[in-house]
Amino acid sequence: MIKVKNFRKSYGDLVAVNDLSFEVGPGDILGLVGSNGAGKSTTLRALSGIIGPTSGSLEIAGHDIVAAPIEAKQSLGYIPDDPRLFDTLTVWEHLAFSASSYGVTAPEDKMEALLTSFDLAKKRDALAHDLSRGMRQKVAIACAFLHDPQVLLFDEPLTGLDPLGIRNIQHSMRERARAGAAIIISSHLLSLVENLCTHLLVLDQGACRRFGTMEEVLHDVSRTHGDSDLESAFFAITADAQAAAE
Amino acid sequence: MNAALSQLLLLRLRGGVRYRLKQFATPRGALFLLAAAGVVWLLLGAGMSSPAGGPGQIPLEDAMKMRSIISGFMPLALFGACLFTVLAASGPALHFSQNEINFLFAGPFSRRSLVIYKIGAYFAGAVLSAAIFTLLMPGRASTGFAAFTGSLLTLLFVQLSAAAFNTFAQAFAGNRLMRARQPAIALLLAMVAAAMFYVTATTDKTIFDVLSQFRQSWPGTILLAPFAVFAELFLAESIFPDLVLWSGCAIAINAALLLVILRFDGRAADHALLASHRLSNRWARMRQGASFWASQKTTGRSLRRAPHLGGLGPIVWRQTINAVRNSGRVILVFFVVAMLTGPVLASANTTSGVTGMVGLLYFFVAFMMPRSLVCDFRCELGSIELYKALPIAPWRICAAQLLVPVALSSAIQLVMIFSILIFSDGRAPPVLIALSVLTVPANLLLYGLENLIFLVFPTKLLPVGRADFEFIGRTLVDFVAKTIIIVAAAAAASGAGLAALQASGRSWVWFAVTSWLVLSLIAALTVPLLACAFRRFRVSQTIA
Repeated sequence: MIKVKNFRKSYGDLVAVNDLSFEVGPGDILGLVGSNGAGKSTTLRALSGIIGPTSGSLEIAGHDIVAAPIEAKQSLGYIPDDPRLFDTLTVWEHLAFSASSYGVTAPEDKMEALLTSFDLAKKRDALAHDLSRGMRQKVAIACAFLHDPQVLLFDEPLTGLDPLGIRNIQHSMRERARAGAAIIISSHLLSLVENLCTHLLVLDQGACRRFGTMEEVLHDVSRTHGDSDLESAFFAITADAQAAAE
Repeated sequence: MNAALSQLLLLRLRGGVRYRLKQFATPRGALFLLAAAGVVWLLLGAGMSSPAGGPGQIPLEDAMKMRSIISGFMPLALFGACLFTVLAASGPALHFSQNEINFLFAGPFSRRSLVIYKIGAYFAGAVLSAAIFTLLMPGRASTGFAAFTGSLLTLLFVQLSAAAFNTFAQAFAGNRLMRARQPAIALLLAMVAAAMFYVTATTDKTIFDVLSQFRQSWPGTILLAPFAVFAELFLAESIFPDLVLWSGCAIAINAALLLVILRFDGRAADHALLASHRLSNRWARMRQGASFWASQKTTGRSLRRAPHLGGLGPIVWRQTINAVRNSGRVILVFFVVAMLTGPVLASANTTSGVTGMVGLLYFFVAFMMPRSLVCDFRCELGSIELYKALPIAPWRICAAQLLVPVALSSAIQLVMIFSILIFSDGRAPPVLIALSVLTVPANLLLYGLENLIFLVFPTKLLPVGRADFEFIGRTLVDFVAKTIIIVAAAAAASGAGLAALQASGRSWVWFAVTSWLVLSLIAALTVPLLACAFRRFRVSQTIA
């Protein structure tokens, strides 16, 4: 569903991501973890077609994001870390625009259902600039869910959400994965990643340090470092990488 | 255009109208709208009133003069704008805001559709601006329709030419020729300025005579031919053939620029995205009070120690750093403008007299500078709670906030006044010398009022989109209120000075000293008022 092969992104002399390769299949949820500046957002922005790769290939649902961007994006839902909306549009108008963008036929029922499930029904006619950060995040997620994408990319999805919102969105992610969607979540919340994700990719200084199923990675790290939770594993992996670099 | 993107344009247009209507529904919005409408009415009245003709007419002589100015100088102005774009090309060719990047770049749209959407958005904005221009210029173009068509196509040309240059520059960013363009054009401009200065200094000709001669020369005619098309639009006497012919030429030029953008956009996409991101960040900072010219640097040399000076030191230190990092370029520009004022006025051989000169100075000092030199409470809205938590008396905090803008403005104004005095060959009015003495108290009063108004009625420092009539109205009301207080303070100071003049047996020294003292006292009164406003300021207050 998602195939990344030898992906490299550089800005002049600065290499943001170097030679990254991984795959995410239908029903898989990949947790993308790494320190600030590790290249997580760059990877998600390249996968969503916002920036182009310097080299390598990125495939979404069988379509190369550079060669066939429209077909690839048709199967994609992207939720950025900073949910900026159109200030003068209402919540309903955001959904209406998204429905029109992705050619969703008879979208009203779906829009109503999403508003209800994200607790936005009362905010239907609220202008975006009057919404809190959490509410804006919910609107961005609802817009991304509207066309039932096969691939979902979340960049720090739970920032600013209330406990109920966090629970609802985690539930929605699991539901969508069960329905066959391939999901990538970039997050600093390691407990969320450990609870939700089936796969893990640790990025450090633009390079992949570990990739595999959650069990594989944790088991692998516990053999050398003794601990078996994700937080300990993450620090062990990044410390090893730094030691190797020095 | 893609159907969803057309829908988005319509939704945003409707949303913009809805937002404005919501603004005007509040008493404050309605008041500011009325103020803006009043000024527009006055401008329209000035444009339409005529001692010779009826309403909507301006005297034939004035109309001919205006036509000659449009024909002669509009191509030069457009050429200058293009040259500036080439010189400064660093921004995004087409600016996509962060929400557009999030929604549209990840959406199923081709890059070409997005470019066309953006040009569509520019077009919609240009239609609105052209309609406003048309209202403001009755009688200055041949017909209202010519004025509208001319304004619309010219505005589009300005947008498209800037976008085309920027796209081209970004597509060839590493190219040696592109890197050399800035020094080459800067050198060319310096040579032209020096030559013009030489001609005006050694002959009776003014700058305008020299420019006019260049416009009529054969190199000027060839160089300015594409720009002259837009002047001809305004001057078209009839719809057919004049307006149709020149509109056709203007549309062809704009279409060619659009083709350049579409041709090179693919090569510039990465640069454009970065530039858009930088511009979005810059706008976000400007909403917090930074100037448009604020430094784009992401690191700065840390200054390690702030003097205490009874609590004034840290705040003056902080605002000095703010001024240097946020307004460093604008301060430099103001100093250069101040230094050039004298030679330019001398070269232009201005006949506007004392009133015109003082009026111009007042507009520069009381309107332009406070809007650009923002290094006081107005750029610290998000930090006022930090100031409130400081163990420093409010009046000291307020006094310290005013020190930097007052010192900077006074220095710039003194340079300007001395430049005029030096280059006027003794013809400058004596009032300028009096003004130089009063700069510090006058600036203290001015910036005290600016900050007082800001703390009592906090507001955004930038308009939101086009036709932000509330912002325009608010700016005008602010300016008028400030002017009334400054004039009243000046009258009080002059009155006291005149009383001292009488009492001292016509000693002008006593007049000057008394006036200065009274004005300083009135200006100093703004500090306790500001301290009171600072104490009462609610940090949870949302900006209007």
